[in-house]
Order: sequence, then C-alpha cells, then structure tokens
Amino acid sequence: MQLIFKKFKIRYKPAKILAILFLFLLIGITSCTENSDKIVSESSDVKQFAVDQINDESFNFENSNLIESVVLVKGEIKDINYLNERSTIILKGRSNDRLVICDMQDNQKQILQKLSIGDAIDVKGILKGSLNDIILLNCIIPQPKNNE
Amino acid sequence: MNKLTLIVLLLFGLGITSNSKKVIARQGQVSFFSYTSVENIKAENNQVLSIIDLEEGTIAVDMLMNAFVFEKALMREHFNESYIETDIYPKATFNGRIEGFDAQQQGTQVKIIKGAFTMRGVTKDIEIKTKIENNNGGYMLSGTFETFVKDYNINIPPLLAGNIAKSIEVNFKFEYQPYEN
Repeated sequence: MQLIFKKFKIRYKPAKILAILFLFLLIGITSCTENSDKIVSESSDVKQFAVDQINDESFNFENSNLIESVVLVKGEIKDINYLNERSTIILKGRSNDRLVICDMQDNQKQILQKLSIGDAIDVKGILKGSLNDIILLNCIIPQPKNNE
Repeated sequence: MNKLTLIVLLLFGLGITSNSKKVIARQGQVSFFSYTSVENIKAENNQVLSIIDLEEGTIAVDMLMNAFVFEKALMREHFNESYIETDIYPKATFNGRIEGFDAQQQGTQVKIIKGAFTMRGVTKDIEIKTKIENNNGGYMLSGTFETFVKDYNINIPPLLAGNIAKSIEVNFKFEYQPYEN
C-alpha cells in the first residue's frame, strides 16, 4: 500500500483516505435513494397506443411483455387532479368505462398548469398494469422539439 | 285503479332497489411501514381501486403490487422480485362487508369491515376498524391495520431478517365518487 503511495508521490494520510472513501460511499448512497422506479425521459423509444387500443379487453397485459416498460399513450384529458399530493392526469378514449390513470413526475407540474380538460395529449410513462383502468407511473408529457 | 297504481308503484320501487347504488375510488391510497432498529421501510400506492355497494354494504379493493413506490430502488427490487413476486402474483385483493353500515348517515361513523384479504395467493380473514365520512354523498374511508409477514408465506433471507419487521403497519385512504356503469 505504501509503495503505491510512493509511486504516485502521494503522502500517506489515513484521514484523507478515509474522507475520500466516505465521499464515495455518500455518492453511492445518494444515487440509490433518488428514485425507486426508473425515470422516464423524452428521448427513450417507446411503443405507442391510443387509449382505446390499450384499454381493449382483448389486450393481454401478462403476455405483452409491456409491464414495467415505458409506453406512450394518446388520449383526451378527462380529469387532472392532485389527490394524495400527487399530480395525476386521467385520459379517456371513446368510452368512459375504462380510463388511463397517469401519475406524473414531480417535474411536470408547470406543464400540467397549461393543460385543460378535453385537450388531446400524449403521455409517456411506466406501464404497471390494469385494474378497472390502466395505470402508468412516473409519467411525462413529451414536449415538441424546437425544430418541429 | 288504486290497486293498479299501488302495484305499479311497488314494481317501480322494487326496480329502484334492485339497481344497487355504487361508489368508486380509482386513486385510493395504501401505504405500509416496516419499523426495525436497522432500517425503516415505507412504500405507497396511490392507484388502488375500490368499489362500495352502498345498499349491500359490501366493499371490494384491488391493487397492483408493483405500483408501490419506495424511497430506495433496492427496496422496490427486493419487494417485487423476492418477497411478493409480483410477476407471479401481480394483484392483492380484499372483499368484505361493512358491519352495520348506514349509507344515509351524514358525518363520521366508525365501523368494522370484515372480509378476506388475498396476497401472494394466500387468503386470510381480517377485520379492520374503519372511519367512514359521508359528506353529502361523498364518502371517504380511512384506517390502519397490522398484518404479519409470516401469514402470507413471504420468505425473507436470514441475512435481511433484521431489516424487515415481522408485523407491518398498513394505512389506507379512499375517496369515492358515484359509479356509473
């Protein structure tokens, strides 16, 4: 160990080494605690669905390999709410029976304020599965690129 | 004529009562806590489905186990892949009855809900003390109960046994809207 320090002309100071190790440990811990689910980004390539397509009862979630993957859903806003201190957009298709519930990422709050019920939008999020409705988490609203 | 009117009214009345009035919560909240001296684990699911039949006094709850959000990615991974095995058992369900429920009573009432909770393919009868608030037909249910890891055959490796409590505290809150189906 001392040889290595001699080779790189570093003075052997245990306190300094301990401090560096602690720093690495801290970086490791904070990187683990940022989020429990993967972050959805604008750039990721995803499969696209209309609300009616993904809500079709013949759509087999278990066999689709789409659970836990990022999907983009196109639909009309039925509701925007802030229940349980979460921002949620609910999308509808042709029918009101089965909806798509999109739990939004915290950084989408400003975008949500510009939206209204009845707007046609795209939402990208992690597909968790289906109860009465389809559930997407960590959702974002992809923004049009400047050159489009 | 009076008899005919009475019969029509009676049939109409029966027709109304057979159409049970239901309310739905699409974004119910269920959270759980595990407290140990080693580490505290908290997770929250904000997309829990629940339907109450107000006339029958029955309640159904359905939740996706992979929709729980944790503070740390590693906790979520262990929960989904090792403990609950969400790919095999994606949902947990509860079907029960609210004992002595009066749907017309305004304000707050505290009732016992008796029913069967199914998780990881294991069904247990449970009783939950629940606060029910009725504000002009807007119902809200909330409460807390404890459940035991061993009851649902959840295998925790000996190395991690100290990190997970034997008894898990579960909190729930559902806000209902009229259900038109």
